[in-house]
This record gives sequence, C-alpha cells and structure tokens, in this order.
Amino acid sequence: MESKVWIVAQREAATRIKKKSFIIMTILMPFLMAGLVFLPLLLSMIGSSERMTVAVIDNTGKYAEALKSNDDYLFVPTDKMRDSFRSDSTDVGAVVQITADLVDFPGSAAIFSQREVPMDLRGYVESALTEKVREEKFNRYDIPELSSIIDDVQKKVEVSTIRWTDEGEQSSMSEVVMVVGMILTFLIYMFVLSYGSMVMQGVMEEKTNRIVELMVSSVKPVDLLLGKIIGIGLVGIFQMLIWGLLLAVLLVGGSLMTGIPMMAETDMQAMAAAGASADMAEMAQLFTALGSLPVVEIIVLFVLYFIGGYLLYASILAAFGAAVNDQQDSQQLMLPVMVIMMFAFYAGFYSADNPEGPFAFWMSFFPFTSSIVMMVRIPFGVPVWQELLSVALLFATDFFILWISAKIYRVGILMYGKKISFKEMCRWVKMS
Amino acid sequence: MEVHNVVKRYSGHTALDGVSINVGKGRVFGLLGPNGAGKTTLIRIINRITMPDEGEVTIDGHALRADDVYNIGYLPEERGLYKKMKVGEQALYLARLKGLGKEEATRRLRWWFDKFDINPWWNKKVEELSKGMQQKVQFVVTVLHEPQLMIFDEPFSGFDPVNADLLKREILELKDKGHTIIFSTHNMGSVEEICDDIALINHSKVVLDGSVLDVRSHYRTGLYEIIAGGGLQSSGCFEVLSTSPSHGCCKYLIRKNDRECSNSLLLGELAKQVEIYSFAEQTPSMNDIFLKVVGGQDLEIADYGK
Repeated sequence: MESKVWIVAQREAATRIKKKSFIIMTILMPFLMAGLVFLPLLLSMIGSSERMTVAVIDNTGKYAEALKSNDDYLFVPTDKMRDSFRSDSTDVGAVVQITADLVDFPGSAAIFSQREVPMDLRGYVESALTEKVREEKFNRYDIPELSSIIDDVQKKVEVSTIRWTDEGEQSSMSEVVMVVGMILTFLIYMFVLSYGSMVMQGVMEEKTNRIVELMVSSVKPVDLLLGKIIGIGLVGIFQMLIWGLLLAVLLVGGSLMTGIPMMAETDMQAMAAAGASADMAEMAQLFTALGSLPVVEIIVLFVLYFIGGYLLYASILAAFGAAVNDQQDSQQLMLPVMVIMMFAFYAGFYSADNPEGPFAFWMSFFPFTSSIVMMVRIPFGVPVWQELLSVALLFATDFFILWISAKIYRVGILMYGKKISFKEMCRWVKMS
Repeated sequence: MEVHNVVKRYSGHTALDGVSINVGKGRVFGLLGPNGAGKTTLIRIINRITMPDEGEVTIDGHALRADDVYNIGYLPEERGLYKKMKVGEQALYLARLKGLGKEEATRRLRWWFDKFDINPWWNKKVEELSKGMQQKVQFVVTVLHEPQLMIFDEPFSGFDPVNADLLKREILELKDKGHTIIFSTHNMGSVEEICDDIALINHSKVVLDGSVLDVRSHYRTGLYEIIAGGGLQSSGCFEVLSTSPSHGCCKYLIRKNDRECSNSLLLGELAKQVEIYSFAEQTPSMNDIFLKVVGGQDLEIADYGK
C-alpha cells in the first residue's frame, strides 16, 4: 500500500502544476528575465532607426564644428533661420541657434523645435558646447600644450578587484557579486513566501469547505499536513528547476546570438583589440564575472535554503491556517509572520553592502532569517563550516516547529466557530 | 460494536454524559435526537476523531484501535469536496486514501457511478454540482472500500424524496450484504422503514434505546380506532372516547382501561356489542415518540390533535 503522505503529496502537486496560471508563469518568467538582460543590449546594437536632422545656425562660426553628427543626430550648418523649418513638411527636427560668443555670453545658445526637444539632444548639445567653451577658455590663458597637460592630469585610476581562489587569481566585479546576492535574496524570499502562503491557503480551503471532515476518517491529520507541505514544496522545486534550466538555455543561446563570449577572458581581450564597442566589452566582462561565481555552490545552497525556509514558514502558516475560521482571522495571525519575513528580507538586502559585518553574520545563522540572509553572502564566498552550521540549525528548527505545528493543526483543523488566540494554541501544544 | 459509558466534556458543557449504546453486527442502528444533543460528538468519538474523557468504545470485543478506523466508512454531516477538482479524480483520490489500489478503485467507482447513473459527472468539476449531487458522490466514496461498519451522519439532509428513497434502498442493500450501519437523522419516516434498533439522545444522555418494535410497543397508547355497525357503549374493559357516524356505520375511538388486557380479549368484548368492520390499534409513530420523549408532550393529546 502506498504511503498516504505520498498520495496526498501527489494530489497537492498535481492540482497545482495543472493550473493554467502556474504553467504560464513557469514558462514565461525565464523569457522575461532573459529579456531584461538582453533587451537593452540588443536595442543598443540595433540603434535608433532614424537620425534626426538638426539645423545649426552659428552666428559666431566657432561652434558649428563642435557639434559632431552621430548615429542619432545629423547636424547640418545653416546660414539663417528659415520659415520652412516651422512647416510640417520639413525634415529638420530641431534647430540649434548660437547668437553670440558663448565664452562671453554663456546664455546665447538655444534649441528650437516644433515638438518637445528630446532630453538626449539637449544633453548632447550642452556637453559638446561646454567642452568647446572650456577649450576656448584654456586657450585664452595661452599656456603652451595646455590641452595635453590637462588630458594627462585627468587620467583616471582604475582599481581592479581580484579574488584568491583555489584555481588561482580571478578578476571579479564586486558590483556584480552584490547584485547577484540581492537577486538571490529576493528570489528565495519570493519562493518561501509564495509557497508558504500556498500551504496556508490549502489548509484553510480544507477547513472552511469541511473537506477535512471527509478526510480524517481515512488519513491521519499529521499525514495530511505532511503530504500537503511536501507536495507544495515539490511544486516549488519543480518550478525552480524549470526556471533554472530555461534561463540557462536562454542566456547561453542569447550570448551566442549576440556574439558575447561567456567565459574566456582571452577572447575578451581579443575582442577589445578588434575594437569591439564599449557596451560589448562591458557585457563580456559582466559574463566573465558571473562565470567566476561559485555557481554549483549557489544552486545547491539555494535549493537547501529554499527547502529549509519553506518548511519553517509553511509549518507555521499551516498551523495558523488550521487555527482560523476565515480569511479575516488569518490576516491577523499572518501579520507577525510577515513582519519577521520582511525583516529577514531587508536584513538580507542591506547585508549586501557589508556581507561580513556582524549583523549579516548573526542573521545568517538565526533560523528565521538565515535562509534569506545567507543567500546574499554566498556569492561573496562563505566558509564551508558556516554554511553547514547555518543549514543544520535551520533544519533542526524546522523539525521542532513542524512538530509543534502538527499539534496545533490536529486540534485546529476540526475546531469550528471559535476565535483562536496564540494563548489557546499554546494550550493545544501542551495538551497533546 | 459497543460504546460504554462515554463522557465527553467541553469547556462549559458536557456533550455526552455516560452514553452507552450497543450496535449488533449486521443491524441498522438509528441515532436520534434533537439538534445539539450530542449525536455528532458520539459519532466522532466512534471514528476516533475526538477522544472521550471517560469510557471506551469496543469493536468485536476489543477496544477501538487506530487501524480499526479503516474498517469504518464515515460520511460526516458537514462534508465538502475540493471545488476545483474533477469529480472522478477526487473520488479516486479519496478512494486511494482508503487504501484501494488505483485500478481497483477506478473499477469500483465506475460500477457505483453506473448504478447511481452519474457517469456523466466524472469529468465535471465539483463546483458545477449541486449540494445533493455532491452528496451522492460523497456517499459513494464512503462505502466504496466496503467497510464493515458504516456511519452516516444525517445522510438524508439535502436530498429530494426520490434520492432519499434511493439512499434508503442502498442502506437496506448494504445491510443485506452484512454491513453494520449507524446513522443519525431527524427523518423519522426513514427510521421506521430501515432501522432495526435506535437510540434517542437528548441533553447528552441516552433517553431511549432498543429495537424499533420494542420501543413502539412500549409506547403503545391503548387507543384503538374501530369501525363498526350498531351502537358501542363503554364497558369495564374499555372506554369510548368519541363517536362519529358515517354511511350507516360508526367510527369509534376507544381506550383500553387495563394495559394487561390483550387485543384478543378486547376484540371479544367489542364483538359482543357490535359487528366489527375494522379494528386498528393506534400505535404511535416514531415521530410521536420523539416528540413525547424530547418535548415532554403528552402523547395522547398529540394523538387527539390528528
């Protein structure tokens, strides 16, 4: 005979996976996420489809040449303002008019346009003119080779970040690591929260629809609870797997399509030498940084922390779901749980700045926050003993909480019409 | 199955106070009582959903164990199904939880669905069914694993007369197959038709129990309706309460003066006076007995009211 827990788990998982909303979300999400990564890049590669023609009327004759045409704007020097610029049929999108020497009269440049002037155009013209004016001003000091001196002075110092790993030195990007940590924290928070409340919803459905009355004669309440938690948890892991796989395929596919190598640093240098665009080089660097992360470690721990965090919150929420009579009561009990989860989330998010600080350190061991806070630390590298200890603490707490929850659940699920307080629940735990 | 002296206290009140019942194998046992008398609590204790504070429940001579529950089919009073699930899937799920294999469960379900003529519901969602329709499905699920003991809490509530009748026939059929059945109800008509034994619970106590025949004869009123030709006078043995003439004969309502006086004796006395066309003892219905015991109403007055 099959175990009842497993039969219950199968049903819980099957009914959720068959839902249309689940299928759509599961398949669509990775495309959305991949889109977020690649879309800006693709757009910048395509460039804007049309160049805007901008007429330049330069009464001084000094600045027209400073406005260089680029992919977006074509600057055409013109002698004077024409009425035709105002007509609808004109192909001139805007007119830049410079009436006097900008060194002496900085306010004598203006852009005219029938439509609102694009911010981008204004910024471009401003910076071009500012640069030119600065050059003019320097020239007035009449110091020989001043411009080359200034260039020399303005050289930026670039600090590269390098991590010592077992494989040797690896260049890293701490921003990337931080962002990855934040994303992981956010993801695990979302997973634990949404699947935890799914358990609560399920328990409440069974109680309010009195399904449980029909079930208790054939299943022990504890089996029902375990089956539900396991079934829904499996759905979570299943969704994670699909997202992970799809995302990996999409990222690799996307990087091949856009011609950005994912790993090799040598390729990157070759590409830079071949004069690849700055955007491309940056992307390549990003991928290299991503590649240098401990990917396997992150995946394994993400799944472990999801299971641990989910078990913890799902057990608490299941007990609450069994104790309440309707949606309204549940809100009241949910609140403290939500507060703890939000706290964990913010703790995780702000630990990204200082992943080795005492706050992040202790919070990544405290079971109620560890699953969320530890995720932000992992991309930065965490000693194995800390990982093991944190996971062990989390799972020990899971079993303790599950044990208590099962007691509350058993009493609560068949109790109707009574408003349940925390005190009452404590009594149930002691009673059984 | 026996229940000995079961006591169940909740904060503030006692739901069951020293309740004992004895349900014979292969009998249909009716559990009667007004709302809130403790019927459902008793049923829950038999199902091990709640534990009694005192007393015990024995089955086949041994105390009720956890795995005895799997020999019990229980149809609760407040029952629900997963609204979004399909009827067939849901029935199959519940059947598998009762320990049936997938194929066996499907086979049996198909058989029952055919019998109840509800096969077209198989792929419908539960929320599309009416309450009575859902109840049919729940009944099927309850009896599907053919448990020795079947317990139905208010099985007739929510059924139209046609389906209630169908259910009665099913219960009798199950009894013929040797199942023991306990059910609680307010539907007294069904009690007379299908119950062998009853127990009436009021204010947490069993106030009346025994076989339906015994109970009814215990509550004999000593009233008879007689249709006869000629004039009937009260005698030492009986008293004429009312006379209503019709079509050359008379309808009399008489009362026996002496409980010990047998019907044959009474008939002899009557025959001395008049030509008897019809002689009918006014046995109380279960409904009357219920009202008398629970409501404390005087049975005779209730009868006069008719």
